[in-house]
Amino acid sequence: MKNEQLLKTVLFAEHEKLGAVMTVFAGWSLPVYYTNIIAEHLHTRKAAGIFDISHMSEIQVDGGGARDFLQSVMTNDLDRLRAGACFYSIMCNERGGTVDDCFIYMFSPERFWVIVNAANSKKDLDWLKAHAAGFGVEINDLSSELAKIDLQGPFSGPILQTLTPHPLDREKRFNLFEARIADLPCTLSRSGYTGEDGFEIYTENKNAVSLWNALLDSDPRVKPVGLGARDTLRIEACYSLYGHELTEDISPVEAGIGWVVREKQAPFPGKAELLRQKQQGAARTLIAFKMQDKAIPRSGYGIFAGDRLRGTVSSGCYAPAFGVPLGLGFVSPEFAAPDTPIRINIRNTLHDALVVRRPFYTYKGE
Amino acid sequence: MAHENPKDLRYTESHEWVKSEGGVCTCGITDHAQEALTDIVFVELPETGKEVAQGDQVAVVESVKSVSDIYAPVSGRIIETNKTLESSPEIINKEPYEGGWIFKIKSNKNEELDSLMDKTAYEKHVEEEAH
Repeated sequence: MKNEQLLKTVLFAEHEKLGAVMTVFAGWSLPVYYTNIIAEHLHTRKAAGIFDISHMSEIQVDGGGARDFLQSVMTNDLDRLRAGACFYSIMCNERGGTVDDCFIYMFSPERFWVIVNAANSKKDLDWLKAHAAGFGVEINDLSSELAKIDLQGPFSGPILQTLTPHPLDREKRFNLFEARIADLPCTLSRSGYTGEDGFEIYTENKNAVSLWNALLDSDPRVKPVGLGARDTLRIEACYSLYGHELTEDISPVEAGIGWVVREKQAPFPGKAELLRQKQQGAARTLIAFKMQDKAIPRSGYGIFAGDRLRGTVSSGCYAPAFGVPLGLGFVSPEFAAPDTPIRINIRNTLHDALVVRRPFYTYKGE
Repeated sequence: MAHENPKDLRYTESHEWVKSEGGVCTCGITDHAQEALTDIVFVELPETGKEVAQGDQVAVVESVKSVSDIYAPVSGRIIETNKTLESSPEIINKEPYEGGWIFKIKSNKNEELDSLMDKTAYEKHVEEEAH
């Protein structure tokens, strides 16, 4: 793809000023790193990083039937969500495969945001609209108006507090609230994709550059972090990435997040198959594994038990916080127990690995 | 942090460098290559004694993000590998032209060396690749 055809976030010029190395992701030109991936990863784990996540899509669902509509398309149970909070959910196809994973923000029973993957935004919008008939809802894509900046790391709270009068100590994990940050109107959730405490901050495009620089200048402990570390951070925390752990052919139950499929009253696409998998077990299941040497598992590599191919790696990387290569992958359930020895086919050599408990990195927020 | 490309080396289009001394060719990856890869975390070294032809894939360098094949810049026999890289692969990032050498090839084909680029031609090649 030629550079001029790539989408750019409103922070593109800021990334250039910071000397970012850019990469292409879902049609967007985005920073992969500013200094290097390992340093940015470790910095996020011990201090605070900011990430330009403006490529992600915000879909607004409005109307008297908004709650009932989402209850009829989401695997998670909207009865468990209150106004002023957000939660994780999945949209499934009839086979139980994953249309997309998302975060649902509840502003009121009549107004929600569905935050979806950039790569799926068009598909999701069409899919939601196709299921909305009769619910009396209006579905609008706000993505082109909104920028999104994530502040992540153990010092996120104290640092953000210096920029806002809003009392952040009362905003617990998964709270959703409005606040002025550096005197700019923002919508925030206390959540993220790194395994650390932090905030996902949404603001109108026109405020994005000011917000970005206010965060950067607020404290020397704030550093910009690229997509490279975003990926290694989420692998350590064992968060799914669409296209890897979740696809149209992989169900959330197989992906080890069966908790997000609720036995609720309302029907939703894939319900019967998903509940069957939850009760009887799925044909394959997600594992986390640790390499026994320094070779790095990558998406698509074969997973062997003994001399037989038993599955496929979905994600892998050198894990900066552990200093060893880690991976995620799918195997038959009989090879999924922690401490099961497996082998990864890396360039036609089988390298020893060990199944370990998920996640590698336990959430470090409150 | 850029490292000057030394004048006494020869360079390949795939961003390896060669230093020839008395029939022994020390090989590594260029500063441009290490910078593009960033964060090198694993190096798969070839076996010593292996006969390789110019252009054969002989080693692998992995960064956090990606996997890169390293090709033999000249034909010959692998006579030594840089074992230090097994425990400290990041040396390639820090010293691509010194401590970060990857393997040595005993070569008897001077014409292959002549076919490679000098510093000026290589820098032009890097420039062109960027466009």
